[in-house]
Amino acid sequence: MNKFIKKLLVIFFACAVTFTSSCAKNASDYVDYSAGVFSNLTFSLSIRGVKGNSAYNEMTKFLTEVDSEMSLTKNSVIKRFNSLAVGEEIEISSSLYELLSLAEQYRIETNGAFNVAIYPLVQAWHVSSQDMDVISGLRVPQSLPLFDEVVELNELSQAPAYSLRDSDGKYYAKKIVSRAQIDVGAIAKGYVADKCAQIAYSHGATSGIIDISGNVVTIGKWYKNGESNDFIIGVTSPRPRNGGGVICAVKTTSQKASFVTSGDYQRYYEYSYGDSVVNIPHIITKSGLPLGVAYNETTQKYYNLNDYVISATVMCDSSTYADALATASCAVSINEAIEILRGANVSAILFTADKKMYAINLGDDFLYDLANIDDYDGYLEYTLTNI
Amino acid sequence: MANLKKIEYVRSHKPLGVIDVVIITAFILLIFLSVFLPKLTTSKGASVEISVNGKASVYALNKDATIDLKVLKVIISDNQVYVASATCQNKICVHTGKIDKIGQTITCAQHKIVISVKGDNGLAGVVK
Repeated sequence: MNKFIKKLLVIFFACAVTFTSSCAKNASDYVDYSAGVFSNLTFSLSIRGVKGNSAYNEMTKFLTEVDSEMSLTKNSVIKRFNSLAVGEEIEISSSLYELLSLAEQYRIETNGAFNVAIYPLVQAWHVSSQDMDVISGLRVPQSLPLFDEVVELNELSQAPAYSLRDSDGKYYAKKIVSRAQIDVGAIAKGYVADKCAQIAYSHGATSGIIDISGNVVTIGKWYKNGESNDFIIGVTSPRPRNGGGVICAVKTTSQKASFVTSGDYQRYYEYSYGDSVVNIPHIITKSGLPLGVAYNETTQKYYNLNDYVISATVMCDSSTYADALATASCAVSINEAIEILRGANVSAILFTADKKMYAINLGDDFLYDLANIDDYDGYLEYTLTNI
Repeated sequence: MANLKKIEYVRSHKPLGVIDVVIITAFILLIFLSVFLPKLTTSKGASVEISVNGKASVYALNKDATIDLKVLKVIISDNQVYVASATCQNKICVHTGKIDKIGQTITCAQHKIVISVKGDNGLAGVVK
């Protein structure tokens, strides 16, 4: 009897010690960081396999540099480019040179659906980052732009705004269209997320998750409860606006995976005509109108459509590409969006205002994860089509 | 002689009885519960489930958010969730204060709203 109890106690304590030590090990596997709000973006990082804060410090240094160069809320290089006369050029960093090269490549590839030269329209619609500042809140305008003005500004935005050149290790951007103005906000978050992933790898990271204002990049496998798993990322429900939970989740088998969502449910304002209200989101479509907005020539009022893309989540290895394609998918009709995404050979999930859901190229690097389907918000309200 | 000693030893040391097993099992269970139950019930949550009329939405506890349910305004801030304002008279939900541990709830019986703190939602992150 005594021996029996002794054996039991030994087994019990062995189990308890193993359990406690495994918990302690798991808790210390990832180091979490959360940086303050820069002028245009938020940053959080969970990283494994890196000694000290070296990777985090290099990332925040890079983010600060990019923020000061590309933000439109400061006296940045972009802001100075926008004030140039046609034919004038400005020296830019190698990062901005790379970013603007990619932006032009994506503009051509998406047939103008992705376009950084829409800043005149962004200002006209009051949907710039200054107008929709995360800290100071929304500034709802007194009036909306006249439709004729929108058409004119949209024509101005269609042509390539700049040309690039490099000489003796220096980089330059020249304005080639009069009054052209650019805003790289639709691609900058993806670009910095890719660079942060590169920094993580260079510091020996074995696993990690980088979140730049909602753009997510995963590195390696997800170490959880002492096991190596595929990363599972939730997709924010587009409805209700600003308060949606997780609508579905995607598991990735890739060693580096990027997830980017664009939609009409964040950074928008409601404009009231008195007898009707129109939602004005920050994404400008190829027509020059904000996402989901149309113009009624009879009433001379803007109104919301009911069959447009309200959320586009794009998944591939490049966060820059995913960012551009997510915006481009919202800037065109649903059929054009599907065509662009299939042509780009990326995985994507689209939701439309008329409760349709399109899953494109899911099943290889990116798979549906339905383990917590009961927790998902609104998933069953949408009719799913796999493409 | 040796056999008699053995017989005497077996007689005086009864084998493990049913009651012994029950006592030992209960004892082990008691230790497990006393060690791990408080840990489970007091550990910090990872998500917030807001159920309105039986329909639930899940939010991350580490992402600040304001959820306007018309009759209640729910705030997720600093890894805690609370009701900032309510249209009802007694405002029990507002007085409940901030909650952040798994199993804690804020209830509004009048509008059938239950806000509860949950554990890990099985996700590494959420794309927004």
